[in-house]
Amino acid sequence: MFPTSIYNAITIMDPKWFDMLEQFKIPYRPEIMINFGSNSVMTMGNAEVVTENFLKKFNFIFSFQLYITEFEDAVADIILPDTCYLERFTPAVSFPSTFSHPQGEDDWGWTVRQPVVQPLYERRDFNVVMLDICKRLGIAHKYYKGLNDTVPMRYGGPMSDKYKLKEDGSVDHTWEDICDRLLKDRFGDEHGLDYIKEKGVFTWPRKKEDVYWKWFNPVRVPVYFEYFIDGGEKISKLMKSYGVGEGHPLDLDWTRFKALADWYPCPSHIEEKNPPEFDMYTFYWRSVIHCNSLTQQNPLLDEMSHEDPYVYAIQMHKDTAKEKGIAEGDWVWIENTAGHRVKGWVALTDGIEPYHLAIAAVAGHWTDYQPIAKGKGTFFNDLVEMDKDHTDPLTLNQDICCRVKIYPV
Amino acid sequence: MPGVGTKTPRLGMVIDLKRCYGCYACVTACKTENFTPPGVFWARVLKGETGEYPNTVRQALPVLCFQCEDPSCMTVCPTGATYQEDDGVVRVDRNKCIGCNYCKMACPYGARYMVEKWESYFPDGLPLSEYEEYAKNRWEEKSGVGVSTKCDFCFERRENGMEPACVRACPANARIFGDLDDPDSEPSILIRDNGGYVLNPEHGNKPKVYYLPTR
Repeated sequence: MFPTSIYNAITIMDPKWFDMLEQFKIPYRPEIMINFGSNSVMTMGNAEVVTENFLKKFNFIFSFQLYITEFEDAVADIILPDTCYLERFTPAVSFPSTFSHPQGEDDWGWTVRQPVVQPLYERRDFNVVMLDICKRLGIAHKYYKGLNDTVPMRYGGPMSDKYKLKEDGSVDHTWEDICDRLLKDRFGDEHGLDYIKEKGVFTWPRKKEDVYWKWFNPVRVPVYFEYFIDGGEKISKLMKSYGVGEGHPLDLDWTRFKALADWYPCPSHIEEKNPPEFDMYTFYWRSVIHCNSLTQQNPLLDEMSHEDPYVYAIQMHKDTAKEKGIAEGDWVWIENTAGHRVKGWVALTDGIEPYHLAIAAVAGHWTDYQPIAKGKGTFFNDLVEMDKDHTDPLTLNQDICCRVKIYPV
Repeated sequence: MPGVGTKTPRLGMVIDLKRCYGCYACVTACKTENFTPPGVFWARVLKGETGEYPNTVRQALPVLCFQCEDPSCMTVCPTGATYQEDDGVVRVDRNKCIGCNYCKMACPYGARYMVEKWESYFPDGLPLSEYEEYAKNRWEEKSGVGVSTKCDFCFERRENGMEPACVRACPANARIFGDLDDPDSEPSILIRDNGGYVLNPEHGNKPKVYYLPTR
């Protein structure tokens, strides 16, 4: 298994997932989905499975989006035009992410986004709209409480009473006020939004203890993960209490809950599960041009993608291609053992293991609303199966290792 | 930072190929600074591959106008539109350029671009947004259509005491800009100590953009 995704397939991708809620006596059913700038039709796994088994089960979906994606095209009832990052305040850009922080001996920094231009057309910041909706529904106090509760969880340490949002309704907080309070709570009275508007960023010196932290922290790295055993026993007992025992389709492989790290082959590496014509592995990589997001609709990045010989191509070893009668630039189908297939053109290279295929980013958009991105690159995630077989029982993360065959279009 | 109006330096650049990982930040910075329309790359990153599996190396090669000492683009210009500033930077006087393309043909490094018709990056047929209007106006002010265009080491930025946009944007500090006449400048030291070289010296143009070896 190569579980790398934060999404889990088993809990949401079964077409009868409402039955699963019934099984575990969960009293409510999700009815409304609010989407913020993501395109989960493309980012989770096989698009048809995600759409039919999961997204279409919601009665109502509204989505904040900068431009229409496959998600809005397929399932959104209402689209609310969002601002781009240059048009809004974001009080914590790179935190609590574990990346995008100053490295080495450089100063620590806290970056804040602020609008440098007014929003085009009638776009509105999703933060402002959500606040507005809560106020109109008369639940602003719940929104304030949610933020008050979230700040200590996400950023660490209690929030000062002085800067907590007033849950009693005595203050009508605006989004800018909320940003100001968060910054002052973290950095002191003098370092609110006015400070950041002038200075742009907070920096402070990094101590040697921060740089060489391993030396100063007497931490021990655990070798045995006993809590997996305890956790597995607890979960197993709980599931049995709901009638999910041995032989039930939802039962997990409890032998994996053990104290020592171990390796189990994923379906792609179990030979009897793969007919001989499925002789290739395909994997996904991120071009630096399109990291962390789906950015093929950005015309500058799209133009640069054409400059790079590999970003929109399926990379294949030249000798393997010759063996299969495939030439540079040929259009091919890549098909997995479940019969899901994706199309793309081949770039021959020596820079890849002979029986592997490399596909960049989550490309291959198909919606007419993204004319720049449409039809460019290959949609890798259509090859990712969303089922229990491809889900790691320990983490419920999804297996993205795909065994495939390749043949000309 | 050497720039316009200071003691006449001989401006040049060093690109450290050990540091460049082909992220295109320089290209993006150039495009957003100079509002170059689609298809125009005053800064460009070429990518190639050498060796056989499993000993294969992929290498990025950033290129731009090399601001040659003896620029053939200037030699062939029939109107004197192409000229050299005192600091050695090769520029184009758009009012003198007749769009004959001789410079484009003469440049051995493919650094010249001619735009026959300004095009938007958003080919949807909708009216231009205010930002596209701004980009179009900026392009027409500086370069325009029907005339030859090229990198000038971000003349306007240098006028304001800033480095070229591609240098500023490089996250790996692979681009080092400075005075090649000053033996103590960073580029001079890097070229001297690390075997700096120019591309295709056989053309005889004496480029002022040097490369440091990949390894």
